[in-house]
Parts: sequence; structure tokens; C-alpha cells
Amino acid sequence: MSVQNTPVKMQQRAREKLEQILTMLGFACSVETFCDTEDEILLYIESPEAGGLIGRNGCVLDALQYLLNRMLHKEDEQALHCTIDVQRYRERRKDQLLKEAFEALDRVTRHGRPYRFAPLKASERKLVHRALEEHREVETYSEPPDEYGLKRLVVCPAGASKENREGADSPEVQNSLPRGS
Amino acid sequence: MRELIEYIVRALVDYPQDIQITEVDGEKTVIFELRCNKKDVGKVIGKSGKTVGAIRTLLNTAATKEGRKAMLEVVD
Repeated sequence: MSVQNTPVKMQQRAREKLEQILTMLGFACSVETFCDTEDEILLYIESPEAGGLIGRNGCVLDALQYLLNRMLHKEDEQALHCTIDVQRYRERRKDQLLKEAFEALDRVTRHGRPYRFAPLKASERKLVHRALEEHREVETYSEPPDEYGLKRLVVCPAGASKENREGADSPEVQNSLPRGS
Repeated sequence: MRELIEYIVRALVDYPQDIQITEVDGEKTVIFELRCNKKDVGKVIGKSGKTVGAIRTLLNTAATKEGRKAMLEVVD
């Protein structure tokens, strides 16, 4: 590891690049960096125009994060992964998903019927799978992608995943939000 | 917006000196045509167009602030 690769330098470079992009996008904001764990940098944006930076379902935020990581990786192959957050959007989304996950857990254990989530991104599905991992009374799996490449996560009673994998399209398990909401 | 595309794409490719961006201005829409070294086309577009899709997302965020639409084409 060269002198250029200290975590402090990495944070600084990530921050400079992000600030440069945000300025060119025409957004007034400030960026703070955090390094909670050894293998990840968190870039936190504070902006009065947060909505525009988040985008529908966080799509602008994801685009920013993806491009920034590509740029940093091109410059330095050992660059740490950066997570970008605006006005705690990612945290709020996480709380919301965990809440839905535990409501699903409760419903599935009480009624024994599978619960389907609305289509989620890979990172979001991972969060739900992990959250329910230790609850042995239920199982979680992801359905194959639909024509748009979106996958739905299903929570079902333990041992029932095999049979439900075939019948998960039946109307009685359509109890989650419709797609796009 | 042109600077935005240039800044991002330059940082992604192997031959930044070969990048050319032409701008076609319309009333409500602005079209950008991006040319780059043949070897870099894949890097700019990305897997299933993921990279160019992300650039378009940011570009439209910038354009919306000006009340316009922006399009980006990778030409070879």
C-alpha cells in the first residue's frame, strides 16, 4: 500500500470527486465523510434540495454512488467502497424495510401464508434476508426476475418454500404492495 | 452538463484524450453525442448499459433543474 492509499487520502479523494459532480449538477450542498468500518467510506450529503438528489426509489443516489465508485476504482484498484447518503435517506429506507420485514414475519407465523414484498433492489433484498435469517419459523427466498429484471422477496413458513416456489403467483399470496408503489 | 459528462467519462476510460462530445441544442431538449476510443466503448456503456444509464440519470437531474431534457448517445 503506497502513501496515496491511506484511508484519509481515500476519503479526501472520494469527497472531492463527489463535490465536483454535485457542483456540476447544480446542487448546493455540503459533504461530510465518515469511516465507520475499515472497508467502507460513508459520504453524507446535506442539501436543501435532497429530493432531487435522491430521485424516484433512490435512483439518482444509486447512479451517483455507482459512478463515483467506478471512478475511484479506476484511479486506484484498492479504493474502498463508498456509500452515499442524502438526508439519511438510506437509513430511513432501511428502517422502513426492517419494519415491513417484521410485520411480514408476524403475519406469516400467525396465518401461515406467504408474504411477497414489492420488487426490491439487490441490496434491499439482502437486508431483509439477513434480518429474518435467525427466525427459523420462516424462510425467505427471491423469485426469479420478471420481464424488467426486478425480483420480489417472499417470506413463507419454514419448510414451505419448495411448494410455494411453484405457486407463488396465485392470487391469495398477492398481499404486498403493487409494483411501482 | 457537458462538463459533467466529460468529467465522469474521463475518469472511467483508458484513453481520455480520445473523448469528444458534441452538443445539439434544441428548445426543450439537448442531445449529447459522445465519441471515444473503440477500446473504451464497453467501459462507457457498462454491463447491460449500467454505466451509461447512470450517467443519463445524473444528466437528466441537471437538465430538469434547467427545465429541459437531455439525451446522451454513445456513437462509434
